[in-house]
Amino acid sequence: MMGHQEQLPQILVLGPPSVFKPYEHQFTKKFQILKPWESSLPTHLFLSTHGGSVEAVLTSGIFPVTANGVLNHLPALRLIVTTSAGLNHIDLPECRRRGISVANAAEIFSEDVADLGVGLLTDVMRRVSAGDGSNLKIDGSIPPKSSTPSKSSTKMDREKLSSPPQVLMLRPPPVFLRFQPQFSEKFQFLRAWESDLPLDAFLSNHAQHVQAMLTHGGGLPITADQVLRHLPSLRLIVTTSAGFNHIDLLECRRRGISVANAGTIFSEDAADMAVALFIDVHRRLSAADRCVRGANWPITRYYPLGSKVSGKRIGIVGLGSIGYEVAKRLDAFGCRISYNSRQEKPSVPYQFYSNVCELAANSDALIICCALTDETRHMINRKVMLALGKDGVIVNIARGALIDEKEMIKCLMNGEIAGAGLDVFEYEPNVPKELREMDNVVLTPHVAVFTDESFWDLFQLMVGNLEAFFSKKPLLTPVLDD
Amino acid sequence: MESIGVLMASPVNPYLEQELDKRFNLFRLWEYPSKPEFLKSHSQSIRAVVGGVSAGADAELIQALPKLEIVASFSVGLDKIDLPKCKEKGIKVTNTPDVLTEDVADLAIGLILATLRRICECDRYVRKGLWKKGDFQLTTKFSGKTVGIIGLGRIGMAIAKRAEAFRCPVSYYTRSEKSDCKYKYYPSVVELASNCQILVVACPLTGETRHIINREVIDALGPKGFLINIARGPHVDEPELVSALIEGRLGGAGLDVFENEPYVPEELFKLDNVVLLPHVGSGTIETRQAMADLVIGNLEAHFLNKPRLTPVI
Repeated sequence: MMGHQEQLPQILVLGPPSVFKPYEHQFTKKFQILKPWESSLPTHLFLSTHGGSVEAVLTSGIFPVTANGVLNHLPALRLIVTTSAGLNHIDLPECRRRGISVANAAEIFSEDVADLGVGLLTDVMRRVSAGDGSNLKIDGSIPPKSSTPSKSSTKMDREKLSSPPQVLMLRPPPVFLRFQPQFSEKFQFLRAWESDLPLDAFLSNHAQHVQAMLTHGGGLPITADQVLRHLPSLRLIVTTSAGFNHIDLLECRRRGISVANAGTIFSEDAADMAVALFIDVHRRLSAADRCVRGANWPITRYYPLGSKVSGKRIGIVGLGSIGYEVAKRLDAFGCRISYNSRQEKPSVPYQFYSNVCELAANSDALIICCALTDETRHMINRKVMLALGKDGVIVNIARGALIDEKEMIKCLMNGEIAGAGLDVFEYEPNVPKELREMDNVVLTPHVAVFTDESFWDLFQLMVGNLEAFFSKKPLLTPVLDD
Repeated sequence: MESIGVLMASPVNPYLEQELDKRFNLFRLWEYPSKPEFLKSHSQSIRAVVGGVSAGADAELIQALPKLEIVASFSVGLDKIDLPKCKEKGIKVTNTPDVLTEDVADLAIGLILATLRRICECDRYVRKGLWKKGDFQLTTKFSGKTVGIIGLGRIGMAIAKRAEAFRCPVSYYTRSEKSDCKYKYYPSVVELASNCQILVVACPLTGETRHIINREVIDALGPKGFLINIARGPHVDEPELVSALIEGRLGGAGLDVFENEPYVPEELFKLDNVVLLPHVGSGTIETRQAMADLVIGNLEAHFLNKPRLTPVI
């Protein structure tokens, strides 16, 4: 009943408070509701655009109601109703100055809060560690002040935590999806992607006391602006990837947040993948399999022959754990191994080149195994590819952005390099059409570590890191400064 | 030597043809309307046959070529040559060992990786644009799996060496245990199959080794086991293999050879746990040239009364 709707008084809802959703229908019967979180505009822009005649605001106990953030954009505002008892999130002097009344939840919560306080005190006194109220429901209730055990308590029984510690996830890493029941036995997961709230609102409302986060390489970038500033209690980020270019490490260091990654558990699978792609491109396995399945067994004597793998000169870009495993394997094929790394490694028997161009000039194939950083972005550029030469092959199992993809496609099309085996791409999962139509490339969908075995190992490692953190033990695979 | 008649049964390699053409009077069997026709006209001129994997020198052909002195095979396998008949008639035989050992071993490892890690299927997935719809599934790790090799000759040993670099424990079966060998020996193929996860066929095809991979062996390998064949198609009971794969009694197979090449059982085309290659074990530019040079070298040596390079008999 649109007409009726328009006659209802208009209120702007900020947060939203948890009481809003379950009773939205009843609210809508009485008020015309403005919902900034449903707009793609940032809140302050939404307020400027739509809040010109707003006289009343309903807010949660956490949404900051400040002059710059809110009040300046609502010239007609006369009332703020907060669903909390606490008022610290509202700039009261400013409201007074502007003649804005403020109403709160007064004492309606008092009994429940008192019950909670007693429950917490008892809880803490009877058990040892961690547990900052993680057994509470995540419904926007007033976060309890962290309780200190009463001075009169002397005994602390060493009991196993009866409620699992809380871990935040922005999006579900593939390993989580595979082992959901097992993970859920050990931790209570805060699942940001399941909420209708935009991320910052979700984090502001629900994750203020979260200490640990589980993320993955293909997930949202963990930056100060998007994520970290909404998580004041965060002390640990665990990523399911070996790479950590998606995490602002500097910012984490500044905030005292430890980071753990997948360490070297993927190194064998990733190395196997590199060798698989290397052999496939040279011996045209995928191309031949396509032929046979198309009922096209090549009976012509002009069927293209492959290129011998054994004895080729291999240039490994980045001789970390994965690069080293690749070298070991191809060594057994009689290949001659050289490498480029940030620093020469005197303990390995392979030839070092201080720059990638020189490495390429002395190799028949380049295998990219290094981390993506600001320095290494587009490190494999036209110059490097021309140095590699028209019989050269590139294999990339690291990160797509290490290669200037557009340039590589040109070089492949012009025969300036012979072929490529690629598990990663600049804009995954988008793979350029030109690549998908070429016969001399092998393309895989970022599966270098996608094996049953690695996922099981990864699951155990992630649990191990989280458990170590919550029991104040050293992390299993911390990302250290280097 | 331009007058010496050399018969080539199938068009295996342009470079080889070209070089044979330069030196001998080359007859290309496939250019004649029929074999009997050809034999009628030219059987008296043929002093050498160049064989390959699809056609060599069987008893019938040997019988039809009274002036035949030497069969030079463009392969290491001799299963297409009637060796007893050649011996009987004093006909020399050569093949192309060693030059293709590495290529075939490389392919065996490539096949293992492609099969276990589903590389070809991954490639199809990306090309079809399916990645945008979702991630690919998990596959099976290769490193550390037990590899069992049937036949530990040059090729078998080269495969073993490579598998070791992947941390794979290697075991083998041969007619008799090899002394001084660091790999674990099993006295039967079934026992080998029961104790490994990846079984590789790398032995010569003889009367004894035909269908060496039968139902019993396939069952022993099991639903988590993989069969890799870079030897000869008839080593495997192919209908048994196909039904095992379809029914999930075997985990997967990487096949470079088939019982009746170029025919490949069509049921295999829709399976995603197999890799199918058109007999490319030695199919590299470098190696085919080396093989061709060996064939030429052997023929020249023979006709110049010099010692042959790689004689079999």
